[in-house]
Parts: sequence; C-alpha cells; structure tokens
Amino acid sequence: MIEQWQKQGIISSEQAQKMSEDLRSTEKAARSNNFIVIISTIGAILIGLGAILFIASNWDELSDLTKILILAIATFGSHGLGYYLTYYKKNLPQVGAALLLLSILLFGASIFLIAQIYHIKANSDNLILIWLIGAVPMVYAYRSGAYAVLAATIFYAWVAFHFFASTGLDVSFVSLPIIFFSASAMIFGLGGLHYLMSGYDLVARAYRTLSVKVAMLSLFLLTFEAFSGFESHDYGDSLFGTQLYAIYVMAGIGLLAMLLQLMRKKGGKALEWFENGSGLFLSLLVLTYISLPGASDLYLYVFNLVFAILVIILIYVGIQREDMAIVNNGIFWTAAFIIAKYFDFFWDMLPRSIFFMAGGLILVGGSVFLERKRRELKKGFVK
Amino acid sequence: MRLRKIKHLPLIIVAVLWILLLAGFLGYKGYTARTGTEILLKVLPVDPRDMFRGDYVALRFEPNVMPQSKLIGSFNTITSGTTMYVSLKIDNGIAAPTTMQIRKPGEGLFLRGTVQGVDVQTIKLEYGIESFFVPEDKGRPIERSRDVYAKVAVDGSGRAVIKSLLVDGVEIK
Repeated sequence: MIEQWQKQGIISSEQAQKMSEDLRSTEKAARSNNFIVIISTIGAILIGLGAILFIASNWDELSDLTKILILAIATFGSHGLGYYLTYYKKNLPQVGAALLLLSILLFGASIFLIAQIYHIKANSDNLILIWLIGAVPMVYAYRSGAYAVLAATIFYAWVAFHFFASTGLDVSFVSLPIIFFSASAMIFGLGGLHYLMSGYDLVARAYRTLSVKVAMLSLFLLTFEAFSGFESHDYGDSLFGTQLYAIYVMAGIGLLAMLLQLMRKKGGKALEWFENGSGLFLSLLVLTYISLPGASDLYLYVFNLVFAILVIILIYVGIQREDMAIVNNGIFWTAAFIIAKYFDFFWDMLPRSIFFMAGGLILVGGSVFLERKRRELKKGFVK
Repeated sequence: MRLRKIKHLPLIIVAVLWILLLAGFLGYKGYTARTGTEILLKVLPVDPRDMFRGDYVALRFEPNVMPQSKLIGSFNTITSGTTMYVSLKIDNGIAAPTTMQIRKPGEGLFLRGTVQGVDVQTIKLEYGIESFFVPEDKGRPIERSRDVYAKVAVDGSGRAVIKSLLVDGVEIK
C-alpha cells in the first residue's frame, strides 16, 4: 500500500521510508506483545495445573480445609495479582490478563473440589452452572473478549452436560448439533446487542466469533445423515418431547436479540442487515426442523445446501469487513465440507485406489488454490 | 479517593460474588452433611468395568430404579427431569424405599431425586450421590466387595450427601 501511494505521488520517498520503518517497528512491538501474551497464558495455565495436581497427588495427606484453602488462596491470589498488574500498576497488562483468566479456571477447580469433598455426582451439570455464574460477571466487570470466550465455552459445556444428564447418551449425541445451534443463535443474538453498548465491542466480537464457529460446526454435523436424516428423528423423539422448550427458548432469545439489534440500529449498514438476516433465517430453519420432523431425508439435503451457501456468506462477510479471521473460518469450512462430502459420496462408488489418488489430487490442488486465494485476499485488505 | 473506590469496583464485585458462591455451595452441602439424618443405603453390585472410573466409584442404590407400582399419583406428568420424592423406611438400620411421589411428603424420611428415564415398568432416578471420590488406586477393594453400604446424611427437604462408605465393615471417608 505504501509503495502504491509513493507511485501515485501521494507521499514522497522519504515519507514512504519513514512510514515503512514505523510500520516495521509497530509490527515488531505487536509480535513481542503477542509473545508475552502466549508465554504468560501458558505460564498461568501451568500454575493452575500445578495447583490442581498438587492437591490431587496429596489427596490423602491434606485435610478438606487445607485443600479448600490452597485453592481459594490460588484463586483469589491470581485474581488480585492480575488486577494489580493490569488495572492498578498497569505495567504488565498481558500477564495480568492471563492471571485473571487463570483465576476463572481456578474458581471452577474450587467448585469441583468442594463437589469432590461432598461426593457430589461427578458429571453434575449444576457444578458447571455455578462456574458459569461466577465467570459471566468477569466479562462485564473487565469488558474482555477472552473472558467472554471462556464464559461462552462454559455455557456450551453446561448446555451439553444438562442435556446429557437429563436424557440418554444416544439421544443427546444425535441432538447435540441442534442444541448447540440453538445455543449459538442465542449467543450470536445477545453478542450483537453488545455492539449497542459503548465499551463492549470486544465482548460483542468475541461472542459473535465463537458462536459463528460453533454454529458452523453444528451445521456441518447436520449435513450428515446420522444427525439430520430421517432415521435420526427416531433417536431425537424423546429429546424433542422433553427438552424442546430449552431449544425453543434459546433460539427464541437469539431471534429477538437479532431483531432488536436491527430495530435499534435504524439506518445501519447493509452488511449488518445481511448478517443478522442470515442469522434469523438459519434460526428459523432450525426451529422448523425441530417442530416439523421430516418424513424423508429432505432436511439432509436442505442442510447441505444451506451449509454451502453459508460458507459463501462467511467469506463474503469477511471480505466486506476486511476481517481475515472470518475469511479463514470460511475457507476452513470450505475445505472440511469438500473432504467430508468427497468421502460421503465416492467411498462406495469408486475403487479404493482411484478413490485415494483422486482424493489426494483434490486435496493438494484444492489446498494450493485456497491458500493462493486466501493470500490474495489478505494482500488486498487495508488492515 | 471516591474515584479510586469506583475504580476497584470490578475487583470487589467479582471477589464478593465468588466468595458468596463458594461459601454458599460449601455451606449448603455442609449443612446437609452436619444436620441431616444419617441412614445406610445398600450399594448394589455394578458391572466392575463401569464401576471404577478414574478417581471415583460409580454407585447404584435400590432407590435408583423404582417400580412404577410404588408411585403415588398420576404417571402422565412424569418425564426426564421431573423432581420426585422417594419415602424411606429404616429396617435394622438400613434404609429402603417404600413409595414415590411428585409432591413433597409432609412427614417421615425421604430422598429428593430427579427422573432420568421412564420405561414400561420402572422409573430411573438420581439423587446426586452416585459418585464416591477416592484417591488413585484405592477403588479396587470397593470394586471387588459385595458388602458395601453408603452412610448418607439426608436433610428435611430430601437432599442427600454421602459421608462415607462401609466396605466389608470398614469405613472409608
């Protein structure tokens, strides 16, 4: 871009040189910052694991009170130190943020420790719910995208455990994509509302990015016969009878939130209408799927078609927003979709030798093509 | 000074909430363990392959699978997730289930459970006491023994907490 400006005579060669130098030093600083973030996050996780392992390996020797005290000191200590470094001293914000993240993990470990002391059922979803109640305020107290991702991940875990706890394993497994999709619709919708609150852009983006990833994974699974074929409804019946309300409530909240965001942002960008519109359409499709079970494999074809369209939408939105993360997401799912469908359609049709050779050629050729396109796009982005 | 106090508000809010959650959880279960009536529940044999998983022993009791004949009231409203109360009678110090119902019994000793599944003749329930955590490699004797009882504290609302296991007459906490 700087070279183009120089050629067009917008900037002089000295200015171009200075700009390039500044850009290089900024990039160097950013790399160094990223390095600190990665190292301190790994360090924080190691400390957390160490504390948990110490308690686990000395289970016999330590009294209940000692175990609780060790974890409580570690939890509140890492939180206090993280706060001190990030918001009070402000000299090591990345390390501080990693310690705050660690404190959420240790808070969860404390809950599970108390559960162990009282022999509470090992896979109880209520334990994850308590962890979630503790994690969500962190997002709003510190307005951090990383804590939003962790809180949303805990939410997904709670949803999965809740359904596993109240239905059989086979039922939950088959229904998991649709449950996770509804949960994603809710997080996507509520995440979008955060754009309306000042100072919450990072949180909004984190919620939206994660929910799109999970929704894509859910939809990807729904393109397979095991999850959305006619026979999957046999498994799903008992779930759809008892837990249907939760799926409706989550998707309903998502729909309302998306509508609310569109109504509040009158005259908003066409892209926002397009994004929320796609979300609304997908949520409605999923609600139709669970309300009107198919008497054939119709939904299987619908989900395959919708997934292919969605990948294109994702790449389009990524290009429009000049957001490489969204484009990468779209390209990843394009590749996954092609590989999965290749296996799906040609496994029985082709002789094995041709199947693998043709598959290998598609893989190599496809990956070279996609990577070239990805780089071209990245080059074209201003940011 | 005032501004500084507001500055620390996030820290204070999160710390207070976490203390409340941890202390509340600890106190809630501790209250049942301390004040609840102690009963003994016979642990039923479990397939050894499933029984010992990692650092906990999976337990099954008689009240986990209740015949529908012991149900008081309508069967139609019972689905997975329904809360039910199972009344207990004590015989020679061992608790055994008598009847079950959706409404909380007015008197007597009872367990509060959640329906996990309903089939033609039985209702499967869980009470949150189906795991017993043990140090690594300490689960084998429990797995092998057929004489296992769980010492359980049950409070006035039917909530239960395991206090210990009696394996061949030896108490394991």
